Amino acid sequence: MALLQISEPGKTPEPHARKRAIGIDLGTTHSLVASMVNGTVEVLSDQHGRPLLPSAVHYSAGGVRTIGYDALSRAAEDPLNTVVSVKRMMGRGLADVRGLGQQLPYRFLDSEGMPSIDTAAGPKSPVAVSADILNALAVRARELLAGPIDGAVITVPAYFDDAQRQATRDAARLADIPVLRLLNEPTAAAVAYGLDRGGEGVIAVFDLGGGTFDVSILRLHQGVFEVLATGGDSALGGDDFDQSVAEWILSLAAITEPLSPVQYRAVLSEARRVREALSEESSVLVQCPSLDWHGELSREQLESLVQHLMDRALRSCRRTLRDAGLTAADIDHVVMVGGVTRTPLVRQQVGDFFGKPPLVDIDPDQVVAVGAAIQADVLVGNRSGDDLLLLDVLPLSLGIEIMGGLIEKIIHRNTTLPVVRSQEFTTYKDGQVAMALHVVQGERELVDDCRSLARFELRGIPPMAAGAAHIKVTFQVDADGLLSVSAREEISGVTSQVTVKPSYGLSEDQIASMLTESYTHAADDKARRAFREQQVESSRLLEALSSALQQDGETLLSGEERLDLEQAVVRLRAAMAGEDLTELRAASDALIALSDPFAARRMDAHIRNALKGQRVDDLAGGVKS
Amino acid sequence: MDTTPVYFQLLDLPVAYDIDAALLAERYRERQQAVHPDRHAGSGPGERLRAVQFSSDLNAAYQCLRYPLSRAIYLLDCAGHRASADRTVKQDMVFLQQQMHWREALADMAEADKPQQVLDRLLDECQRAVEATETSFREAYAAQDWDAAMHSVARWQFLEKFRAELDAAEERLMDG
Repeated sequence: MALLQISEPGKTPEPHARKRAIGIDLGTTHSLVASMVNGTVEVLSDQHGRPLLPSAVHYSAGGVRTIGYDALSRAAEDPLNTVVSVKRMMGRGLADVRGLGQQLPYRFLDSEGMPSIDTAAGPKSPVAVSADILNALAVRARELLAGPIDGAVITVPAYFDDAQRQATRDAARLADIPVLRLLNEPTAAAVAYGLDRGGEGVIAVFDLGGGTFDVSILRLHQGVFEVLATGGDSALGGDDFDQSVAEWILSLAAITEPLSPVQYRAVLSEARRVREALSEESSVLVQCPSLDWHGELSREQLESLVQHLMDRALRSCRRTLRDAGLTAADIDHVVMVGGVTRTPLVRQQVGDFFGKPPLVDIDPDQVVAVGAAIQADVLVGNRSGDDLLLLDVLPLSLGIEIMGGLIEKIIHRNTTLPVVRSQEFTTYKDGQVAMALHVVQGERELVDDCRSLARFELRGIPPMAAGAAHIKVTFQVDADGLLSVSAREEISGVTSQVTVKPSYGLSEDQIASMLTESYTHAADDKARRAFREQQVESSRLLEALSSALQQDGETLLSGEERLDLEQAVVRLRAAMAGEDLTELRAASDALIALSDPFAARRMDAHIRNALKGQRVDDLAGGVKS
Repeated sequence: MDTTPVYFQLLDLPVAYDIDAALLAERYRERQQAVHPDRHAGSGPGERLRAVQFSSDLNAAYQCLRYPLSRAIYLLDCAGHRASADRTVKQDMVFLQQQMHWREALADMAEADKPQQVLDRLLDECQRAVEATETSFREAYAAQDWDAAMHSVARWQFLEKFRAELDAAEERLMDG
């Protein structure tokens, strides 16, 4: 019964099995996609040779959407239907979004969780807008790489909390992009430089993007990138630099009445043009025909306008160094990310702060996508034997609300990921069968000062006297920085059902309905879509199992176990060819359950191998000395 | 009741207070290379889940063993002795008096002419007290004098807490 195709040891099953892996930098002002092509990273450009895709989507009546440069060109005439800087709204509530001020002129629809933007094409959640941008990049990649995408790495600011990361994951799901990993932007930038130089040492990444500022301290040693500390300011970016210039224009032009969104947008884009031009020139003419005003701005004036923003950024640097237990003198390399770091003032002050000139030879707009593409190539399995490993940290502490609006921290920030922590709780009343947990993220002591992530309801606790139940709640944060929660009553062994109500995210139902509405899948109905997702999942499972069996099947499994597995594989293949979703799920679950002991043995073998390598090294060292 | 020193086993190190920090870091990185979820991105769900668990355990072991105080507490824990800071320190009048003295100095620091100097002196004194406590723990642990070892750890916890307050004060001073 030859069921699994097994090739000769040491030979890849298919010679052309190199997979299509992409790295996506989903930015506030612009986004990019890059891929490893013939051994070098290429940033994939559009048909006009432009690598950047402005993160702008225009929605017009009738549901027509335009993405990128074409959308941006409509921003001035139709600001209410042209969504820009959507990244700032990801995983945020209406109050946060309003706090961003005049920069976002949209009509928001007040709803629970993330607010939707009211456009001519109907309400659009920030997740749906981001999915449109991601989809445009995926289409570009599929065309240029001539085939479907096998895996993607999407970057997020290191400072993104759980809700923002989850929203990014959801957007990728809507755009039907298979995500291997969410990677922190500064880590990606360090990867881009680290591999090129093959170096070791401590690296500081200064990332001043359109809407966020991140600083990360990493150590590269023995092929492992360890994030030592990460910090920043999720509400500081190039947009704030532009706004400072815009305010200067408005005060000189003596504008006291509030401007229309169209006028304000025009002033902002002139402010940006002037700010960017001042990186090259010492003085620039400012022209605002809509205000009937013109003037001149010098580099020195610009520097005094934005100095308070630089002070904020450098304060974050100081704090992050302290968190890492280092001083500026310990830093070996400084990497610059984000277009704003082209500003001479920024380069000079960052150089002064760390006492060494920053690295700028990879385009600061592209360096993150380059690093993401490298990591995608590693994760998709194109570079077996490559030792590069990235260890990220939790950016903000996770805690739960306790009595009196106080917070009990469960996992502290800067803890290396992944992490699993358990905490025991007990009941307050006799016979209590349910309990609610409010999970928050942030550094402050009071619930109101932290970000609400989700409310978890545990049900099915066996009725006992007050204080007798021992409910062990396990918080797990995976390598992407995403939290999951499970709960178990320890005495009875009953697993509680956990229902998650994300505070600013989308619920599973909302995502499901967006998937069916989504234009990408207009033809699919809900059930077919679900079947297709399960099919994809199943073929991944089969592929993984087949390669695991090829490697370790002989040594780790008995003949009988192997036969059982093969029978489960036959059942799954049959179910995949059929149309019954319930049977497909059952067949998949059965195979997973059956292969679980094999997975455990493989992991143990991995560790034993690592140990063995160590002993041999030790021995060699001992003989030499 | 003794507990298995899992953290030492995970990193294949002898169960002892004094450890080779470089070796610890090297073993940690090597094992993460083998078990981290990124190394199993293309594997089945069972293996991916196990990778997250293994990798988390390794992180926990490394974080615990790399810092002297958490390592000391863990060693006592494994030997079946859970240190209770309040009980032991309350009986140590000399230590309590020194603590009070330091806390007064810290509270008055804001009015001092050169607050940084006050802070530096306190940091220095605290550091020396930590070193002395570490030495007494090391000796007590080696001699399996559990009461003395627990007493040292209790004092040590107080000292680290005070040091954290000093660091926070310094942060305010630098930011201010």
